[in-house]
Amino acid sequence: MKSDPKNVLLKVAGLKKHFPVQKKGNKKEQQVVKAVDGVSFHVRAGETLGIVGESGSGKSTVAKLIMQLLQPTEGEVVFQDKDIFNQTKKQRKQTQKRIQMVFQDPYASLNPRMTAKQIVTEPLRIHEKMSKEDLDKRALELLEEVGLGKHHLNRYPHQFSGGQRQRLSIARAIALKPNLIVCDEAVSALDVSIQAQILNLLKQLQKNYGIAFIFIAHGLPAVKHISDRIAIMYAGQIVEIADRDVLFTNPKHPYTKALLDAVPPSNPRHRKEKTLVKGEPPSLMSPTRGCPFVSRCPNATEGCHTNAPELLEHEVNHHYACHHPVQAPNNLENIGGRNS
Amino acid sequence: MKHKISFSKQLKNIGSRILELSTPLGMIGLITVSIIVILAIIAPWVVPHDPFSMDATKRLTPPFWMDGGSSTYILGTDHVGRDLLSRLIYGSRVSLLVGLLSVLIAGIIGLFLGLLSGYFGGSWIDQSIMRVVDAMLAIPTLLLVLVAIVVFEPGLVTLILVIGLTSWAQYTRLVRGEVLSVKEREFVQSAKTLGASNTHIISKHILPNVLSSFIVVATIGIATAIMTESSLSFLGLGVQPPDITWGSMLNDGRNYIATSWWIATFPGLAITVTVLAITFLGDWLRDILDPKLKKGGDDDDE
Repeated sequence: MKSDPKNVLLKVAGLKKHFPVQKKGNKKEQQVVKAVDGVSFHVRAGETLGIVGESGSGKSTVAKLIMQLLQPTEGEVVFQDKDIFNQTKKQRKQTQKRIQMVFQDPYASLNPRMTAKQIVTEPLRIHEKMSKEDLDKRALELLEEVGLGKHHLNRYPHQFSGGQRQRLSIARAIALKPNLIVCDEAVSALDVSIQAQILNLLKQLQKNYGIAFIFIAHGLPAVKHISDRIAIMYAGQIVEIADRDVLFTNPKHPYTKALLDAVPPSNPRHRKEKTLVKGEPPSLMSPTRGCPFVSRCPNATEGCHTNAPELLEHEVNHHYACHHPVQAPNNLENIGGRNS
Repeated sequence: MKHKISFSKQLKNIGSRILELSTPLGMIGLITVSIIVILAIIAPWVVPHDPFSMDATKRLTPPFWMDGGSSTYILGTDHVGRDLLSRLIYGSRVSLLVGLLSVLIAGIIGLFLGLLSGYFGGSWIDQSIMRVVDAMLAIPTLLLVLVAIVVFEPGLVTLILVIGLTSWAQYTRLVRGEVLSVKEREFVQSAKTLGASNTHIISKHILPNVLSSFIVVATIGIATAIMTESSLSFLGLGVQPPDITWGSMLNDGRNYIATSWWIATFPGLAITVTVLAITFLGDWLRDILDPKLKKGGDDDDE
């Protein structure tokens, strides 16, 4: 799955999204929640970028910004050399054709009053003028592509299982042959056995069509199987981004290390020493000068409270934002949850 | 041809669904309403007597099972000797017509404004529509109708228009609420990411998902409209004689309630039974319109 490193499909630069909140009983004082606070990364054509972070780290907000469901406070998203927030209606429609999304909850993301056929052909009906026969033909092709069949065409979402519904979502996402699919926790609502099937399906589609994925998840095991590179988000920022194997063997940011340690080992006898993070993530409303992770970091020093580390490329293709990176390299053998 | 087959198949599906989901109350409602509708349609051919012809010699004949009653006038006659049964059957025509047409008017307005208001929730469009709705709901409908009837000439058309134009607010409010919740659901978000237009989202995603609760409330709205019509006709402000309505029949019987109870009782019963049957029907419709609901409960929890 190595692709041309120059072939950047999507570039996110300095992206910020601040939501205003009104304090109760105090209308003048407006505060902001910095859901996404200066995020930059890129996705190359045909590769998979995993974005991992805990609840409230801003990963879904990033997805919504890329999908143009939200307007950013600052920063830009460049897709195929065009800023997506700065384009005409016609260009916008073209971009919407090229980027698709698979949502987390397969129960909520399908209209209960549409049949499978109507669901998977909806993008075609919006963007392409196709005859009824062509639509029918394409619907069947799409269903077969995701492992469903002819007898599913006229069924309603409630007649499918969770995994099948997610397959429908994927069929809808690939209908227009997009360049990029954003999967917002696309498997976390499914059983573990089904998760593997869906991940394999996505891999297969990527192989066949060269689709790039942004794969958002709240834990590392889910993205490990599918990602080429992984970005770790914390409190609205990316704290570390590296190739998958590098990140798993040699995590530099203490938070990444803690996430890796939180994965249970596949063999329970091989218990390892864990660094566990204590405490809560910082409030996204209170302004911080220092590192966002400082309150929970085992390596924090005085300087970390006042001086926020920048996300820098310390090694080739390995960016991290930390003053005191983790030293000991992690042994790959000890990492559990290997399902590849 | 292919189309026709799938259509008849669909009809068959609906038919089997009705049987599958039948409940005793729902069936009572469905059958009663069907009988009333059929009677109203074929009224001229089934009435035993001319409902307008008076016969002073036969006035105040009691129903057949009472002393002095005759089997010619099954439910007796009124104060000018007209056959009550025939009048009841004819009266159903006006009641149903007013009920259906006024709810149609109110429903179309309410649905349209509700979709608009809900979809653009929070905007000035929503705000202005909702303020008008608040104002409409603050005034009792009957009072509003009374004023309107006094201003315009009373009659069938006026009645339908006035009831229709004064009762849309409740539909707007209901539809708006439903739209507000439906539009936050992920499948609407997903349609947005696809680049769907507002029209597409409203017609394909939102409308089908608010329609079932709308239909239920509209059905009950028909019952309310029939009551309003009866009240107005009772007060003499509704449909004018010689047209027959249950409300004006009630009014006719009012003076004779102590001596000839049947004149007022039967139209009253007719109103009660019709309204009740329509309400049962509405309750039951909600169940069969939900694609997820099957007999024996939900097989697929969300």
